[in-house]
Amino acid sequence: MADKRRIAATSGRVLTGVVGAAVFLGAGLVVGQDALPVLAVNAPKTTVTPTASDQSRLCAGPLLRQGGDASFASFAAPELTTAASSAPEQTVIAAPDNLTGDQFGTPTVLSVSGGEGEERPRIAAAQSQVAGLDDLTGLAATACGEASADSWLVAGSTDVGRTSVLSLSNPSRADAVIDLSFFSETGAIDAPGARGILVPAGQNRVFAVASFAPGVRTPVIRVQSSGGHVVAALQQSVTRGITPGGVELSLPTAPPSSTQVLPGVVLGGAGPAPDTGIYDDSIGALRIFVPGTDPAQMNISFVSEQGTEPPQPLNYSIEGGVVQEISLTDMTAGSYSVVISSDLPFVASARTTAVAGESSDFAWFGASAPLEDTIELAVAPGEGARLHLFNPTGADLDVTMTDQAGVVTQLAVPAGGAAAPTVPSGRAYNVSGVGGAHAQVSFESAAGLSAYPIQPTSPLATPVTVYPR
Amino acid sequence: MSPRVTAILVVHDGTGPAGPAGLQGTLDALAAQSRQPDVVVAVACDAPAATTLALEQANIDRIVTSGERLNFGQALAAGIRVLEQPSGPDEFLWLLAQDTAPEPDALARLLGAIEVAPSVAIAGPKLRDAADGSTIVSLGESVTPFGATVLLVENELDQGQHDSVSDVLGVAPAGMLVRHTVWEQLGGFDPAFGSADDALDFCTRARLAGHRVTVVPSAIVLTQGSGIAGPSRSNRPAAKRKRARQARGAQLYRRLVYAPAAVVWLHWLSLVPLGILRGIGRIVSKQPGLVGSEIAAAFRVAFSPIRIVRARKNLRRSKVAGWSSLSALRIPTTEVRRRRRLRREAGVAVYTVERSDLRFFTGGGAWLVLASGLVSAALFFSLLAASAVEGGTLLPLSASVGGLWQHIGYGWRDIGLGFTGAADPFSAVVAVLGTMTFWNPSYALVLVMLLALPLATLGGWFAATRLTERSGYRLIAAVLWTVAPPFLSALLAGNLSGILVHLLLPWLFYTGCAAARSWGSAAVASMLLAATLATAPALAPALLVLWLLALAFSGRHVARVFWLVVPSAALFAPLLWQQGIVAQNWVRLLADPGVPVQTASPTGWELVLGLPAGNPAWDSMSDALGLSGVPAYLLVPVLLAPLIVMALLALFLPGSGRAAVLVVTALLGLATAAAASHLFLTVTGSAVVSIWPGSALSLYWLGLVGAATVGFDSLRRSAALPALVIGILALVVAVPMGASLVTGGGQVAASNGRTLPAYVAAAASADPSLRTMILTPEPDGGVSARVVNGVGDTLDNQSTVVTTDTSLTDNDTKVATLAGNLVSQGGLDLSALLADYRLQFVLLDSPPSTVGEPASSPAQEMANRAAASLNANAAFAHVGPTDRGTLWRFEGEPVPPAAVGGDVPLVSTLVLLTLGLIFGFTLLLAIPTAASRRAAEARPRIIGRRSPDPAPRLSRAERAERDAAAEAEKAIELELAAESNEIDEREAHAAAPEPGSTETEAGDGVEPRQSDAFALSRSAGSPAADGQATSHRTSSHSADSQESHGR
Repeated sequence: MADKRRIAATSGRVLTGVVGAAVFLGAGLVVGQDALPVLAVNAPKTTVTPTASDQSRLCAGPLLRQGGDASFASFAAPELTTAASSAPEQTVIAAPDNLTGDQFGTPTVLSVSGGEGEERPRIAAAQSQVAGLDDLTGLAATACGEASADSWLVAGSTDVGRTSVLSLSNPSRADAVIDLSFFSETGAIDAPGARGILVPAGQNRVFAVASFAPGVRTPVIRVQSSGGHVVAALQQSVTRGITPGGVELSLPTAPPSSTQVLPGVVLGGAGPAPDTGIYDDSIGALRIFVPGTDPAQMNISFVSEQGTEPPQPLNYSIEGGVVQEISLTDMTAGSYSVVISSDLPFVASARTTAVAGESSDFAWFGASAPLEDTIELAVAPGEGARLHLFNPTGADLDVTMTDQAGVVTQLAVPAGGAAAPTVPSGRAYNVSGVGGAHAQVSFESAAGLSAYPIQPTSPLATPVTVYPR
Repeated sequence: MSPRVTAILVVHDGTGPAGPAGLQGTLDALAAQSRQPDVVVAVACDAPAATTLALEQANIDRIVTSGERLNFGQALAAGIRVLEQPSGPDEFLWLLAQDTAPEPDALARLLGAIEVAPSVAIAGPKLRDAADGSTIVSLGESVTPFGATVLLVENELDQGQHDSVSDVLGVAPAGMLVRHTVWEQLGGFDPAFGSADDALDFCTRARLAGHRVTVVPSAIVLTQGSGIAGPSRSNRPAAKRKRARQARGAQLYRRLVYAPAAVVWLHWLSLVPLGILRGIGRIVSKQPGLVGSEIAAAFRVAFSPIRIVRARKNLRRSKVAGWSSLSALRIPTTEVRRRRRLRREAGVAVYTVERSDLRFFTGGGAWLVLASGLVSAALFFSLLAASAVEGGTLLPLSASVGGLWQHIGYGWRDIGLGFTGAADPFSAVVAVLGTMTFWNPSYALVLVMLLALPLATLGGWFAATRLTERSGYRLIAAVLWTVAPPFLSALLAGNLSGILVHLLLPWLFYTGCAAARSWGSAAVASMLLAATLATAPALAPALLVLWLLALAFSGRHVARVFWLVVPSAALFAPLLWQQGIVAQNWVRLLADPGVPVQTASPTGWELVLGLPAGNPAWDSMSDALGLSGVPAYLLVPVLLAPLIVMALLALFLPGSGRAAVLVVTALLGLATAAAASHLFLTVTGSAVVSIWPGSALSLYWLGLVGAATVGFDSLRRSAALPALVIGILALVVAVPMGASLVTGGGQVAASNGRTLPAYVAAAASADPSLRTMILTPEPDGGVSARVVNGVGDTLDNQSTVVTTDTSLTDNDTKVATLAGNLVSQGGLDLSALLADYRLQFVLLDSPPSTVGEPASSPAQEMANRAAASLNANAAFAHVGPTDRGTLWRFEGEPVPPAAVGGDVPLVSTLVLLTLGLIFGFTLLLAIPTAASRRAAEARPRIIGRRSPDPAPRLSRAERAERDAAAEAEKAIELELAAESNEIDEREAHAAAPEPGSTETEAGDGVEPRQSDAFALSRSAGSPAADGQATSHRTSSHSADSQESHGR
């Protein structure tokens, strides 16, 4: 009896053990295989389109002439073209550094208010001025720019005979504290007094670049502001010996990116200059700067707007932290869209020189960022104006340009191709169908050579994804 | 004139198991009386025809039938109504019920006693239990000074020891012989009484009317106690509750009837408060079933004023003697106390099972805890001086204890822009934690981190006492519990839930498996369960399965096991309502409370090894040592395999039932962990976070270590070496994790107790209603926006309602719109919105670095965009970079705070009240009392192991015999004490004799010898129990005498 019970108990235990161990090992195996499906919720998110803001553009004001005592004075007023979706409001910025005061005009803010609804108002403006002084000649056309907290000026020179004037205008309601960083062909420049520059709200300050970075052939200036945003502009003039070599007013180029597009770079009709191996700023060149310390591999390709065979793409290794210029010597005259791609973000622009009347003039072609689908386009007053459109997208673009009188011009820009129609001086257009394209306006005439890129509205107003948790 | 006796027999049908059979016995006994009653009247209440037929056949003179179930008093009144009025004092009524069978000479002896003394109006017999025929059920009744009924003799074996009693205050109703004239004079039994105290009240009134009441021990009536005459003696819970209600009701009723007119109203006012107080007393004394009885009795009496007035009038009419005449018959307080003590001791002496000592200190448990504490101090050296900690899911707590408790229950939740809803049950756990360090609630988390290891050791050791009596195996189990991979992973990751669950689980095991034994354990376990579930809701399904198993095997203590889930249910009720019933999102209830923090996802094999977040410590160590040949993913399984093998081996050893339960627990834990790691329920920014599988792995580990310990215990001494090896291998697995804690691999660090910059904290301390928006750039280029209140996030003010909600609420849209415009240059005038939401600050967090990857470029771009936009916004002043990010201050004036959340005070108060009631009830139930401790000591500490010689189940008679023996022993002891006192006094005069001889002399009593002989004769029947009783007697004997000599 007792034996039977013991046998029953033992066999019960063995059964428990075998079943238990089997179940346990089986469960371990199943868990180990990790075959369960994942049940994951989606994080709630919403795309917020920022409420349409007032759009404003600041026009840099008249060209300045630097006196011997490092004072600045203007001598004539620029002409303005405005294109806007509604009538713009004009505000004047105080320019205490200009000895002539507001006699020839001051930097001017043009703004349009957002109406009802989500649609953001559009505005574009451009100014141009022809200088005819003994030491300052040429055409300087430029767009009116949008204030920004961080911008790169890739232009200028403080070499002998080169004068560069930095103008900082603060159109916002908050004072701006500016930090300037200067880079040159030898690397970063430790510029005294370049940090903590106060630009009060609604004021314009002007500085000679040479006071920060003297004797620099290829400066690149980064303008960072905290507080209010500013519009930085760089006026460069050249005097070769006693011959004036032109003037140009440049706005910041497109922000650092691993691809930069310089649409419509016009190489002067004088033909390629001989490569003497000596630095000469009259030779067309690309100025490239890679922030940081790592070298970047550059691939530079060209698209001819005339439909001619473009030059072979170039490959360069560009050192980081040092400004480099690549001469455009072997290229036939004409206009090209230059596409530079790299493995690191960089900034770039191009400088070319052309014969203008009895002397010569130069122009800075900035990189332009991809445009929105519909923009306003202001062609500054000036002879020989052309609109350069480059379409890097994979689809042909059908561009419709409507001027103020309602005259419609149709234009096709093939995928990967460019177009360069002439446009009348001082005309304002509403341009649609240019989404993703890059644009530049250039002027080439006896009055001089000049250009300005068309930049999209600040990305600070694009829709943003918000996770409310 | 010869006496004339009318017997009145009250018959109910189906009142007990005796039923008609009991009736037949009574009828037979009535027929067998040596002195036959002259008339027999039967009162048949609601009786079927069979019963009436039986009565008719038994020569009953008159049968009165009633369709209702009258109580004894009413039935008697109905029977007596048919009799003629008494013509003289020699006419008697003999009150009998269907289950009271008198011995043949009972009536003769009662009559004999009453005839010789004309002052005696009522004579009662000795009532014995009909089941065994030898236990005294009643031999006279009395009251305490407070009016509670006292049975002079109760549940004692009748050995004639009380046969000298005669004059008493009252007698039991069954078998009572009463003069008919007195009956009429007093108006019979008060029908307001149920089955309790009706006779006592009648006897009291008889005494006050100048009559005597005696008990006649030689007249014997056997009663089955089915509740017709006198209270039912059934042990069913319902019968117990009814008895308690009637006894208490009768006591209160008598109090109101007997009290002087001037103070009746005072007594009346005290009824309900006293009822509630006594209800609380019932809870404390672990009789929660009787709480209702107490309160019901109080209400019942309080709302029967008409009966009381009538009864008072009746009393006044017949009263001739003063109350002082009864004082000699009352039981004095000292006697009440003595009886209570006697009964208690008698109970203990018999039932005590030798419960081994805990051996916490001698067995090394204390030293292990101390060692664990020292290791903890070394591992968390950097936290020793900290006043707050941060990292992982740790956050500061609200600064005040009051603030902590405001965040529980249901109501206005000041999270984000605020909403009305249920709080996480975890908030209550946090509130309790914070209250422990009331001077600085956040310090509680420092203590949790510092004391985690020693507390885990302590818990593990105590849990092991439920499985083994061997100190060595308890130590091994404690070590295994302390170095559990899920626990160390939780400490590394700073996962508060994981840590707390690991500290709670051993105690839940310790109390939970004893829940069926005692209300105290059940109450503690129920609160621990509530805390565990609140901390890790994902454990709910596994624990629910275990609870259902326990419920299925709980037997007659089902109420205690059932209670286990009641506090949890109460705690979760608001959330269950909101998330489950209203929102139909049941799975969200499983989400981890607190801050969602992303951790590495474990692989399935890592889960099997108990690693909830991968094994970074081992990986980095094998990298550092260049052990690429022996990768961690092979080494750790090898080191942990012996433990698993031992746990499975336990299934083959004796006692495999316990091991099986523990292995099932482990499997449930593993399954939960696997499911948890695949459930991504909580949202933080753009990321979704899975449930922390570590909590479930702690349960898995509990099962494994428990089963292994059962295995050690079954193998006895031969498992010493394997146990040691298993312990050491587990320690080896833990060493890299511990080292990682020291070398900064842990997420937890000392903090200043702030989650927002000091600038914000300063402003918020002046105005706590200010809000801050925290913007965090997300890897995909989006931005996450959160609004925090006052000084910032607190652990007690988190909500799974928010973190698991995947839809966009109105508040979300508001916040998103605001945030989207803040990081853009837009035309929206933010000032009005900011002022409206009382947003005073915007904090731009640096982009989070996702596990193993640097901040991605889109996130950096968003950070730049947000900074640029905020910088340009004239409404904001740039405060500057802080330790928590870059801060901007809104320059506008915030709108004064509106009174929010005042619209749901009723619901929130009700919820808090219910929680308070249930947890108050549970706390009272959990308080240990002397009685509950004694009851616990009567059971072995180990759960579930079948003892080699189980105690035999005893019948009531056997228990009564043992009680009687114990009582007799007590009597001897008291006598001994008294005698030795006397001897001491004598010794003061004479020369001191030998102490031993004193003892021998003292043993020479008449009664003691009887009971000694009895105990010896019983020892043949149940050797175990009586042997213990004997040994107990001798030991306490000598202790007593020593004590008396010491005086």
